[in-house]
Amino acid sequence: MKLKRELKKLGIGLLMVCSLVLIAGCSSSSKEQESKDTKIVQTDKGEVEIPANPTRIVSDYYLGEFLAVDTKPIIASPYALENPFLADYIEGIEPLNITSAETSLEMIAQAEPDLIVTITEADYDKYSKIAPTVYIEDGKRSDEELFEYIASLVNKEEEAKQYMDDFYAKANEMKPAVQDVVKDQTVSIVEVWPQQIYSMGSHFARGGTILYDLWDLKAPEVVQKEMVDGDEAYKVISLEALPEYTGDYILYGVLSDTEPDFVEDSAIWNNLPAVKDGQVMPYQQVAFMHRDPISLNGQMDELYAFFTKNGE
Amino acid sequence: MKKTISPIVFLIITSIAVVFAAILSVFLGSTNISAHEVMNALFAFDANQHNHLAIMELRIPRTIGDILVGASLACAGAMMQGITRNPLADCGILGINAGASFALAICLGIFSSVNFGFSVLVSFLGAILAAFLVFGAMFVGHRKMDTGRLVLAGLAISMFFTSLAQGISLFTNTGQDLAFWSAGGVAGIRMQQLKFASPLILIALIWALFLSKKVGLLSLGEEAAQGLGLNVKRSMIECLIAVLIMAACSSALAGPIAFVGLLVPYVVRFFIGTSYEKVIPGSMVLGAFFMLIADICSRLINAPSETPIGLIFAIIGVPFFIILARKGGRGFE
Repeated sequence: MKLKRELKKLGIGLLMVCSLVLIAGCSSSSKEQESKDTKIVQTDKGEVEIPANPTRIVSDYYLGEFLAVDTKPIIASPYALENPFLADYIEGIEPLNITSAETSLEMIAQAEPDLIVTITEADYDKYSKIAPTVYIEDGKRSDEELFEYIASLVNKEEEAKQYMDDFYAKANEMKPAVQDVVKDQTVSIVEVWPQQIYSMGSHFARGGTILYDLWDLKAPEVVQKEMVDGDEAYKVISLEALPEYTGDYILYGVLSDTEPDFVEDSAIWNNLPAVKDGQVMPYQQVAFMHRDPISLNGQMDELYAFFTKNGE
Repeated sequence: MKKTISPIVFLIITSIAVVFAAILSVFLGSTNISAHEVMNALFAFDANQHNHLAIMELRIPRTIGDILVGASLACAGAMMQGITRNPLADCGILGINAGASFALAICLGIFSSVNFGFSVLVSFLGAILAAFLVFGAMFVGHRKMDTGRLVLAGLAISMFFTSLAQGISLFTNTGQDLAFWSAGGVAGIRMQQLKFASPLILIALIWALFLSKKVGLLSLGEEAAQGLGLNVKRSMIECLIAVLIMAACSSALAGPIAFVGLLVPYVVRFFIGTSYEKVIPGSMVLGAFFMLIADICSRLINAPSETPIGLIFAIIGVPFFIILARKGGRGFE
């Protein structure tokens, strides 16, 4: 019937219009990047082509490493932005909207970055559709290697090297004073989580590398064996085991919004030699959990102040 | 007729087992403390020795806690199974633990830390609320105790309160504290809490012993019990209150621990038959034993870390529950 044919034509026409709109919409983000310079970098996911001089960087974790070489990402993780050591450097950086996976991706896509640096392997594919993405596996590199790698992405190898040289020089300058105070006493790190106690050595931030690697301080025997000389990053211990894992000095941190009463109210804690002698340094968990160069610098200053003041 | 052991023999054997396990629980733990040191801690206590502190401050209260919590959870389970005539009944399944958790979640959300006595009270109120929702329909509508429906209602209420508790903890940022508490922790039991909770639990346990005959009558069915002269409604309420006190104190002390109330009475019935006058005391003693053993395991596996005790019971309890459900509660007859 004639009416049916008319409707059919209308339907097809509508379909064509819809598909045109769809194609137009989808293709709007695929700009030609031939005109920009690019370089190939080795990443933990193989070779990736990234802009030679990235200016609009999104990073979902690593922040201090960029800031230390004067590079400001446009968007960063809210957790990294909470780090008090970075407070002076972060003006203008947008916190990533982490309400849901969709909101984060939308925000990143809208910002039109030219480089995404991520710690999350699971999001790699989604990120790479938006912009060239470099995945950096957590814990694979030492703090210094990580810093140099990130600096190389933004062509700041020289600056990074200079920063590290200054950092080591400072550490060496501080070392004699610290060792003079500590002598052969042991230093330990304890972090309280909800109903859990973490003990760590030199492989889990919290200033461990500064204490044990740079300043050559000693940890309690079992910590030294497993988490400084050995490769274990951390260990969850019971309250009973606390005396074994703590030394003459304790670096003490509490995860935010956590009740530490079960530790602090216990006779075991209050009977520890370090607690009785006032050799406990409370640290801000949100500051000491990071190991970027700026945080490490800040941690080193705090640790130095603590030890030398204590030595009086 | 299945051969059963004399209840007296059973009680004697399990009581000895409890004593033995309690001793182990003091001498063993997540760290190695030599027997010599333990004896010193008990008889020549030196507050400057951290080993002594570990024994007195941590292991002894925890051992006592294990006994009380194990006994109450098992007894509460046995009573629930008796009065609902359903071998799958248990405080966890009937939503009572979930009610206590929910109330505690609100409490933790509002006040950052609470006096222990207050948390017991709050748990109790939450447990009452849950019990009211699950059982209320039975009492109000004069309906017969449809045990299958009861378990279903209990599961629904349990899920309801658990998700509410999680929602609250998300909004008030107490999520991780609550999560760990939810896994069941006897590790946090201290003398201070026991001073408050043990009289309550002991009273409830003794009361339960007196109520055990009534539970036995109720387990024959409402009409039969009434025919034998029992005031059914009043007895049920008395039993429920005893159960709620036990559930609330156990929840406040050790968090919600499921499956104890399910496993223990089943094993007891296996050995000494289904007479509740004997099953209830038997469950108390065996429950204490199981709890002690589970706690020792939680400290020895993966030392110096501790595995949450709820996990250990879940690993044993879930397959057990499946087998039990498939058998259709045959061990009950």
